[in-house]
Amino acid sequence: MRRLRGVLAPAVLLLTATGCGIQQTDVVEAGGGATVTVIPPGSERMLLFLVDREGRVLPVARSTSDPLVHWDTGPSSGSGTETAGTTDETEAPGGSGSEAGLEKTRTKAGKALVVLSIGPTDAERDAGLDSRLPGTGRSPLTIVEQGTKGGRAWIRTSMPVRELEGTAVQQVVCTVAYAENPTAPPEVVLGGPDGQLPAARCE
Amino acid sequence: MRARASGEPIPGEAENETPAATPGARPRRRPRAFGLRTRLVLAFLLVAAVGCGTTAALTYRAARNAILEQTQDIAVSHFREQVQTVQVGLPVDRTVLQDAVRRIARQGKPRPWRVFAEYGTLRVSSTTSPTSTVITPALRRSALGAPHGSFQRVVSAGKPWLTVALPIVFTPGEQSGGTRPTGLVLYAVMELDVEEVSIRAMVTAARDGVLPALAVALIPALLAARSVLRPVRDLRRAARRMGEGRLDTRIQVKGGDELAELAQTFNESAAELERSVVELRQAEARARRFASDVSHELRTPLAGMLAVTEVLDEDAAGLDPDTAAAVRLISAETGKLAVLVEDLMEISRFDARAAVLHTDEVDVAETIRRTLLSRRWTEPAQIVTDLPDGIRARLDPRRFDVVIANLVGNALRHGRPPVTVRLSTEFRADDASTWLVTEVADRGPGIQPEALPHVFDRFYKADQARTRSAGSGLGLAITLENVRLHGGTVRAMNDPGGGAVFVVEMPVTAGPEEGA
Repeated sequence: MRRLRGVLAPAVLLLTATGCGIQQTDVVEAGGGATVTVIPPGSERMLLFLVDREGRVLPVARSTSDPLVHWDTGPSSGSGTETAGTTDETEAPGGSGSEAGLEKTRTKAGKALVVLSIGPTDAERDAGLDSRLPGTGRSPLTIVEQGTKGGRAWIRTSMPVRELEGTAVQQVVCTVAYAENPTAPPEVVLGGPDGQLPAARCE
Repeated sequence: MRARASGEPIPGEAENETPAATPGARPRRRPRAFGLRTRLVLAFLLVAAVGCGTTAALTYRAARNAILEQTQDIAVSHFREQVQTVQVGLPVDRTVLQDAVRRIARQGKPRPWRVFAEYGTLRVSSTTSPTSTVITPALRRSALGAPHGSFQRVVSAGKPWLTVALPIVFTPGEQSGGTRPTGLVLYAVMELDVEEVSIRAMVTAARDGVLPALAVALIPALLAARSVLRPVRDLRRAARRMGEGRLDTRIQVKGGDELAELAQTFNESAAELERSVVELRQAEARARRFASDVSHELRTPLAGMLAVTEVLDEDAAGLDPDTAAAVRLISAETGKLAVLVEDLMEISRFDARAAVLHTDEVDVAETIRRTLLSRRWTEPAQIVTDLPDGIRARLDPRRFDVVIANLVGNALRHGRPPVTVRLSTEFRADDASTWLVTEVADRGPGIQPEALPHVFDRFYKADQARTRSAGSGLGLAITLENVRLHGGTVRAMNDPGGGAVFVVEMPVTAGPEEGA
């Protein structure tokens, strides 16, 4: 009888292990994500990075041909494409060379950062996206200094950076990096009146 | 040969296969609970069941996995294809997304999907409910955590579902370069009812296939059992026949397997045994013939010697006393030698089965009286008789005379008078026949208990010290053979009141030995 049990046990085990019908599975990974076309296309858009309710930094695409629509709705005064530059001039705390500042705000990164500081649109808020930058919606920041050195993008703004939370830093870094080079976003060194942060990459 | 002579079952019956031929002799033929056949068949069935079960289980598993994998692969790749045709703005517009989701759901392969979309706080689906109850938090976590497609099979409310999650990414740069998640995740949910039906059908097919397979396995099982059991049965029958004394029994050897080897060995052993027995019998026969020949050869010179000693006896009176004593001693010893030779020849005849009964219907009491009279055992102090008249029996008068004379002579020689001879009859119910019972008792010291079983042995001396016996030493042996020839028995015992008792029991009509 013991011999019999020795034969039967594996058989029974095999049958039960096989089971009948369709079994549940764990999550199985299957390839990458699906790539879609985002409109407007790459050359006509400005990528800004906002934060969703779960703290993830997500991109939104604004059309570069129609930035005024948004800027007008912003709480800040002023008008035209030079708003950022104007603000920069009037509110620059250090009173540094306004010519240079203006020049720098005309770069893509500078523009994008200024737009980001103004805050999300209604549609973006409806989708649960928000900005973690301080003072959003009241006064857009000004770009003090901006350039590229050693493959890194340098940018100094009127916004204090020491107190920024991690997602806010990522918002800024991603926005600047993708504005500089959307194909290969560089590292970004972010500076403010209170100092500068170590080089960071858009995660 | 012995078996036939002693009236044991007729050999022909041993070959008869019907159990009725030998009632009660062998309680066989009944199927045993765990006989060889049952065990073999069970083993075969077990092996077949394990084989079928394992094969079915493995096949089933492989087929099931193939079906499911195919469905999953189609669903995932087609879902990705469909999703990649979508154009969205960022943030994703609810109306655009709703349209896209409905369109993708319709394109579902292998069957229409239910598509759910998640973006920030936006929840859109192709069904009436914006969120799915089937999608697990684990799948959602996986899709939100890394830009990888993933799927999961879920059993919800007893139904199997396939859920596929696809995080949507886009190329921030100009066509080339890395991708970046948009935060939009699309889920496709499909019920696996068709697949489940196919898989259930496979289970049914496997189950329906196992039973006929087991039934088919029964046939070789029975054949194998038969091929093993038949030689075993032959062997058993042959062994029994050998036990019955038929040493010429042989088994037919078929094939070359172990059982055939066993049969071969059995045959060889049987042949060897038969040869040994034949040799033994021949040796025994030679020894008997030798004894018989010696007796015969001694008879002629003895007859001459007897004639001479008679003459010498008569003349002894005229001789001087020493010579006369010697002559008388020679004469007496010669007489004893003659008796011994006669007894030896009688025993030889029994051994050679040459002894024949010459039966006659006689009055037994009269026969016994005549025996006693002829031996001159008539004094009442010596012999007491209890011989009722009218008991008639069919027996050999000469042999019966020898029996009575031997027993009475023995009693007179070794016991003490008076010797009682008692005759009676006894009806035996078991074979419905009347038996003649003759009792010879003496008043002597009786027989030593250890000597009782041997008193009928040839030349047996109850008292080892007494080397010289008055008799030949063959008297009781001849008595026993004579009684046996009549189909009867003779027993020796001690009377509790003292003295030895010999009881002869014989059928009233002479036994079945007649004509043998």
